[in-house]
Amino acid sequence: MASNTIRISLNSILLLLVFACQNNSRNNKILSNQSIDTCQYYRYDAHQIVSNLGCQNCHLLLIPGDKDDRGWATFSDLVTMDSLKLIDFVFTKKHKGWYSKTGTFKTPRMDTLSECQIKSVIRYIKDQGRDIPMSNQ
Amino acid sequence: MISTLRMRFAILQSQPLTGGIVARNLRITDNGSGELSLYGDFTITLKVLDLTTSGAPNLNSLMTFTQQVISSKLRGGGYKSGVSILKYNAAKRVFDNHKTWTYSIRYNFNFTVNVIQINMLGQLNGNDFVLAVVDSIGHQFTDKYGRRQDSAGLTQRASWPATVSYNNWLKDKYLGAHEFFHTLNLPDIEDTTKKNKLMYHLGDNIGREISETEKGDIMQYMLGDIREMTKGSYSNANNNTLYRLRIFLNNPIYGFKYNKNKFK
Repeated sequence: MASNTIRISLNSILLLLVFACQNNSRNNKILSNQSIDTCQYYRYDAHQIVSNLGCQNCHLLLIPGDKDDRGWATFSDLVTMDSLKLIDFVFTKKHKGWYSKTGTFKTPRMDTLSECQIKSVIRYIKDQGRDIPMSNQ
Repeated sequence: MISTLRMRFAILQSQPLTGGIVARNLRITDNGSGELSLYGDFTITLKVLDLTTSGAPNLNSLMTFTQQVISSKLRGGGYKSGVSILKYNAAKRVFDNHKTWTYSIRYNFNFTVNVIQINMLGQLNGNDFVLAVVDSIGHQFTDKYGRRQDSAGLTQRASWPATVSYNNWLKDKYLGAHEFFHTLNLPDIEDTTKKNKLMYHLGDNIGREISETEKGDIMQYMLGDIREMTKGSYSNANNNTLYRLRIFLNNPIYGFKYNKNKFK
């Protein structure tokens, strides 16, 4: 009786494993429909975006620890922020609508950045805190 | 904050301002149609530290050449449109911390460039710019085309010390100026359609141009905080130059070879 129970249990596990390990054609179809991420990071382009937005006019390039007397985040402060917080901080809440189509900066440059450009800007900011030098051959 | 206080204290005591960037006679005009013209006399000083093992016999001529290149590239000021900054109140001659505006800015700055050699680390102040000359640099990088490249010069990022390998500097006299412009916040260019640019950094570069946009970026960097314009004079903020030079040169991933006895 006990050996029958063990045999049935083992068969059940085996059957379960067979089904679990089978490729699911439906999932494959979904995967094949996913687009390839073509967003490539190029430091120069990201620098141009940051330069055109004028980020460093307000977020001053001070050494870590030095504070802006207005209480504004320095560029070093931005570098230490978590990427998700940075996206939230930079592109939505903290700019008081200045960059919106009706804002004082008029040209809605920040609103019109693509997802790839936003990713590049975030990486550019984060890279300022990493050991990634600029070389000349 | 400390550097700002130090600078203000120095002004109060009428002590001469020192540092990589010293600006005097600063003034602004506002044409009332969204264009600010900025005027001032800037002195840029780059200190060169020879850390080579066998010495650098041609260092003086390389420094003179670098001084001439930097001077010529900065000549003529710069222009930048669509600059988002604090709103300027021309009547009160102040920038309003609570209002923002988009301006076109004309940088009418006069530049005096000094490239001088120093022999001791004690000659380096926190807000100096420095170019360290080393024996060699082991660091390799991958360009945007996926090719591995050697490094003849290396700079961590804006405001950081720059380095060049002496033998490579002898081969390419523009190398010192290229690296210094990284300190002044210009990035490298790898786009093969821009081989005529000084900041193009792959081996097959054919030109030495700085674009108007790049000049505008340099001027913007030199000014740092636009509010400095209303103070008449200023020197650049603390960059922790000696500390940064120390951790940069001692970072093993860059593979710097230099005479450590000269760096104590």
